[in-house]
Amino acid sequence: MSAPEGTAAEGGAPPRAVEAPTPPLSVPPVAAEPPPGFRIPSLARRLTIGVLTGVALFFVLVILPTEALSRLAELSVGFTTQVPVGAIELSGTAIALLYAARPVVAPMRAYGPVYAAGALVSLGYLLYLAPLAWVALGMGEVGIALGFGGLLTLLAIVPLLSIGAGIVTTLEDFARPGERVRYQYRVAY
Amino acid sequence: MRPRAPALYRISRALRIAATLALVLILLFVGLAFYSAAQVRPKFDPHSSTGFVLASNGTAHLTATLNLSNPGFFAIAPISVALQLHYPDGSLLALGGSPTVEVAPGATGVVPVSLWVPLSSATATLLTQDQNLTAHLWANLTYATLFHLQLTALNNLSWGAPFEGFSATPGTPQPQSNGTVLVPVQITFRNDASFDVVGTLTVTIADAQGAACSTTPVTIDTLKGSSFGQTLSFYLSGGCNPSGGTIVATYSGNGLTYAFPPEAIP
Repeated sequence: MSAPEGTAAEGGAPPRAVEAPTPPLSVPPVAAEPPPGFRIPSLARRLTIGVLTGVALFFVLVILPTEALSRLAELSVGFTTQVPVGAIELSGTAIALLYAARPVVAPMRAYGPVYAAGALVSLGYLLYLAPLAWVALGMGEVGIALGFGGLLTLLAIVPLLSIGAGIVTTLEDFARPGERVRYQYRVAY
Repeated sequence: MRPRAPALYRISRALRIAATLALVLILLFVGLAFYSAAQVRPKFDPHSSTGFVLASNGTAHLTATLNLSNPGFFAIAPISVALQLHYPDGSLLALGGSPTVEVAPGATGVVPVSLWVPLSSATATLLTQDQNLTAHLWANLTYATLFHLQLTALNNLSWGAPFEGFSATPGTPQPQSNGTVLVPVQITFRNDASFDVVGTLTVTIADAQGAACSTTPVTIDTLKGSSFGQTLSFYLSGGCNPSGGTIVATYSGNGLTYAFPPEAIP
């Protein structure tokens, strides 16, 4: 994957400043239309962000739920759930990796497909879990079961919108290479 | 002025912002739902249950009221309760439950729970023997549209028989000077039920062939928790020999007609 045409080099040159004539003291300066300057973060910086994102997501999506399930199963409260730990580990890892890749490939054409792929896996994961989303506790002769499939189905809106964003980004990157990067990494004047 | 971004870029950015906004709103909704759910207070009204009462259609009817205080921001809709009553051996005896109720946010809902126990020949042991029954309760509710909660509880329920230890014991036949034979029959039982037993007990002495020799109706009004004991006198004509026959008692009242098992006359 290569950086799109027309981008500045990584860690690139600062945006060009516009030199305006020194205005009279009483008149406020009138800024000329600045050309779109942009600065792509260095690969090291993008990797750092990606790794941090991936680690955070791995913790939230894999370690936290599997640990919670195993702790609850160890308690003598008759904990049962249909949620398979294997699916949590597999899908959580895949989502964490794809989301970690997003900032890394952000200046490239692969950004849109990677963005959409992460959202697609998330959507599939949520819709797979929704009908299984029951946890139950049994204490003596009393049992309580909580179903949260509706919440997971509602949450599917988020990746659905993200898939749309990924597809549009892909279209833009392939139709007008480099256009997005100029705006995504635009430097404010 | 900053140059206007291209349409595709703006669309993509808008979708990303919408996704983030949706996530934030959903997380806020979940937080608020959990906070609100923590405020819900279910309470069984102890004064609402009067124990089993005998209905006019020959069923014993138990009612109780569950009050649900819902001061939170979301409705409990719907909530329903289902009940099953089982014999000690696990077989099903009776069904009950509540209608589907909705409790609006900021309101207190009342869930009336009822249980009907059929009293008939098919459930004869309930009439003459105290029982330790098992009540199985399910409560299903949906909170804030998205969360489903199912509560199950198993509870023992003592059933007091209205004719506990019923017996019709014949005494020694005594020939009378007028040619008849006096047969005393002692009727005893204890009303362990939570309702009074009011009705008519019809006692019949039949000979060995099953032909009725004499019948005596007795009005009974036995308060809950009290015992009944009465000796009935049957004067049988000389043509009726009760030896080897039976005593048949039949209760009628509150829409219920029940014939107790025949007791043999020695």
